[in-house]
Amino acid sequence: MTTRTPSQLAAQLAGLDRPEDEAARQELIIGALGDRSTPVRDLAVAWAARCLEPARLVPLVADEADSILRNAALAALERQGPYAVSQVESLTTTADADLAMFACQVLGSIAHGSNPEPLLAALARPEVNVVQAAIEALGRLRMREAVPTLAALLTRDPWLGLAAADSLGSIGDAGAVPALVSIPPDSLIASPALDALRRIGSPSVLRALLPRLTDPAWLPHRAALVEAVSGALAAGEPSDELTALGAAMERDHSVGGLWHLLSDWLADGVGDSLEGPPERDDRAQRRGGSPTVQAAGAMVLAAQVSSLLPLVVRWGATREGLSWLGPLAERYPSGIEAALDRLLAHPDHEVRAGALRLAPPRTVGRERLVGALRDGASEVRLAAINALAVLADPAAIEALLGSLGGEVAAESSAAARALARMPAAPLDAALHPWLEVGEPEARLAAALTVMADVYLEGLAPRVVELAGGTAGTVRRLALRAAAKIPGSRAEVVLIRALADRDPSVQVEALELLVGRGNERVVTTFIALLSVADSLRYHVIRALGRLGDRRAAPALEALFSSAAFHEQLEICGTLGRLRAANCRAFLVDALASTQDEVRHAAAQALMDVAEPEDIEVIRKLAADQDWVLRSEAARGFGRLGLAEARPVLLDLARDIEPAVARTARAALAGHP
Amino acid sequence: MIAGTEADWKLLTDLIEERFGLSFGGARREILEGRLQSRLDALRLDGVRTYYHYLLAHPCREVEFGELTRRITNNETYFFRETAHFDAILQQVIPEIRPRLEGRPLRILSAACSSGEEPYSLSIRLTDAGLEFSGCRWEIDACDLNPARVEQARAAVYDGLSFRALDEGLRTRLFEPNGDGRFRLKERYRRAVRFFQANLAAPFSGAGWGQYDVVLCRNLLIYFGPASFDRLIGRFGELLFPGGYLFLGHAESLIDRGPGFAPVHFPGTMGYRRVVEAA
Repeated sequence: MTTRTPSQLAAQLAGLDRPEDEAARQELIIGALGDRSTPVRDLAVAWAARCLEPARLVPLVADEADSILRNAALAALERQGPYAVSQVESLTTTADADLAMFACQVLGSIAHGSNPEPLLAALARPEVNVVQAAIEALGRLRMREAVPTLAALLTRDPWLGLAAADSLGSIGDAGAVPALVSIPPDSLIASPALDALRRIGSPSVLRALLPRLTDPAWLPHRAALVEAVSGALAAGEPSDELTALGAAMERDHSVGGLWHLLSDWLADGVGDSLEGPPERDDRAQRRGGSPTVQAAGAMVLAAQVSSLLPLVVRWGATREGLSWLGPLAERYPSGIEAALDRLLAHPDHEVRAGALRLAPPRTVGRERLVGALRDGASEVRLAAINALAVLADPAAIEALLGSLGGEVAAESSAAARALARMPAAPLDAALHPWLEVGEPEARLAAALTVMADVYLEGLAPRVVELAGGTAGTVRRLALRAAAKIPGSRAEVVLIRALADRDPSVQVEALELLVGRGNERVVTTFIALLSVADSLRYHVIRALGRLGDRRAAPALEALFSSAAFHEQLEICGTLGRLRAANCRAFLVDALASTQDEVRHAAAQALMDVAEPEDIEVIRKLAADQDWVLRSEAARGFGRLGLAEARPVLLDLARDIEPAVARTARAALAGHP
Repeated sequence: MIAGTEADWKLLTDLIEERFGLSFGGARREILEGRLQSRLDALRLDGVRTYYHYLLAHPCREVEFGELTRRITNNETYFFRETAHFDAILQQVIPEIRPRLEGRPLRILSAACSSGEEPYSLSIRLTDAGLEFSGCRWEIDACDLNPARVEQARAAVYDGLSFRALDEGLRTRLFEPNGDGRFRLKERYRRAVRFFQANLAAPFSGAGWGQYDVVLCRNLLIYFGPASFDRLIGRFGELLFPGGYLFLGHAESLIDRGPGFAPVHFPGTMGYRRVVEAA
């Protein structure tokens, strides 16, 4: 049992910060690396990465007696990352096989700075555990240079073959396909090789794999085969082979056949049978569909297995399902197109909704889509509205207005978006009655929601009138619609709203003006900086988003009299403006007595820094404050200066992980 | 996805940990991001650092901390969750402690009680065991960070998932219909439980706190960083009478976490006895 807590260890380490304490500190760290308490050890690993040279850590990795210490030392080396790479690489050639194996594992964990040579050389060692570690490391690092050697290892030794197949899958290079495809069905690595092919996802495998789906010799691997084929289908094209396979499946629905397998997978995915609404609906828990369902779905779409389409198409009713099914349906549209009438008449509303989402709207056609607006299920109506939006056929405006004024909020919003995509002239005419004086607030609000996305010239005067009038929802929506109207009249209404008594209206108007973003808006905002109210915070930030550098001097002038929270935003805004002439101001702000101002100034400075600021950044890199060190790492990363590399290597093993990660990211893009 | 650098996220998560003890480092950052996205949209803030500045310096920061509290606290709980702790308290801890009570009531704290299912479950067990008839009085204090949850606990009205470990018969015996499809815990189980809002990451002072024989703090410390964990355990040590017991969730442990508590095995679970310092 440990006698200390992480807090106690941190306090002890903090007390050993003089140069003469260095030896004692290192001993304390090494002792804590072997502590039984995980939190204590985690802290020790962070300090070891920072304070112990790789040469000191490496012997600890070789300690056979204490596995806790060995693993902690490994973790510290991993954490040192690029700083430790050359030392760890040299260990891959050591005579101690265990040490060489660990070295390969560490290299696999250090994404940056590794070159393939030491690991490729380790593949030639006689010790199987070293070779396996090297294979795995090459896979983790996705080193394409290793593909030919790994492919050759597939058949050398079963265990090495397993590791090689896995690594080839991780690397994902199509160069491995011939070797993987050549693995026979009776091999121990037949299924792992198919899994690697799935991950590689090259359409070139289809010609070899499709016949295997009906080959009895491959029966034990059929699940892996289907998944491998589905991986390739994502980038494949419709073909006669696929169509023939689908026809063959439709002829054989016997138990144990391929059709039956896919049917099982798809039914397991939704927990019900082919026809009729589901009895036990657990789709809510598995909305996206498992990898098995997705594999089966790809096969059914690509091979046009009509009888299984309902079980696939229903996944299109959910956003998660649509994300994988949508691209497949675009690539292989024929099956759904041919079965459209049957799918749209299916008793399960999710099949109907899925079909509407997956089929090209032009194929479905306006009449069927408008008809679907009368479906009893909201999901189907919603899918129809979205398809009508793509179609943008003005003949659908009247039907969509019905949905706009309906009681289902999601349908009303979707109808507003769909209407906004219609041609302006007929839409203008159709919405005119909705905006007349005396219309109920709900109708006004619905029409204005449409107009937040589209400018309708004929209705502009009425919108401006409503935006300048009464408070409440209608005015807020009218302001949004007014933001679409070009010219000064609408702009004046929005600028007036900046002085509204309701702060939320002020902020809304500000946002809308930012969206318009012209010179007058910038001038107005700069003028508003002199008004010390709650809006000024938003104005400062809005100026940053407008990106007009003329605002920089006004912001700098405001800084000393601004409130603390405004000062932080002024720094941030100057950074966003990328105003190079504000560098001197930001450097001055680094001398602030308030940490947060220094942080904000450093962050902004790193966005605008030039190579001549290297000394300022170097100082930040050596600061006690980790936020400043992190900003320095980011700044050096942005500038890409060769002379900053040693500083970044040092920061890459910073005690603070956020600094170390930032430095590593900077090094990854460094020359 | 919320825009932010490594440093931005660390600043924000450190601030949250400092304020509430809850750690959102590592993989839990995604959880935090999911809970904050809509809030940043509502405030029209465009990144983590801006939100951090808002919490740090904006005039509305205290209001925002309240909003943040509601978003980051985990309210997953139900009646009779992990009942081995209740058995241990009833069958072993109370008989051990009872001779030391000297006429005062047994005092129990349910820390991070969410909407009250845990302290009420214990109240049900103690009431149904007839402890008071045997001359042992008892009180349960219960606290939570989220004021909305505390209000909900005081109301003692529940539905759905709160009853997942109760069968229909037990629910009917313990609860009465509330008239809105939900159920209210009967008064005899409510009366000995007192709720108050408290931040366990802040120093224990002011109204609410007392000395306790038993502290339950289950499934909270898994969300705490090491420093906050140690601090809170130290504070529980101060709250407990010498020889008092601390019960944590099954995924939480004090093993190898310092000398203030000694682990004690009970059937199906483990507790930690506050070590009595030598005189």
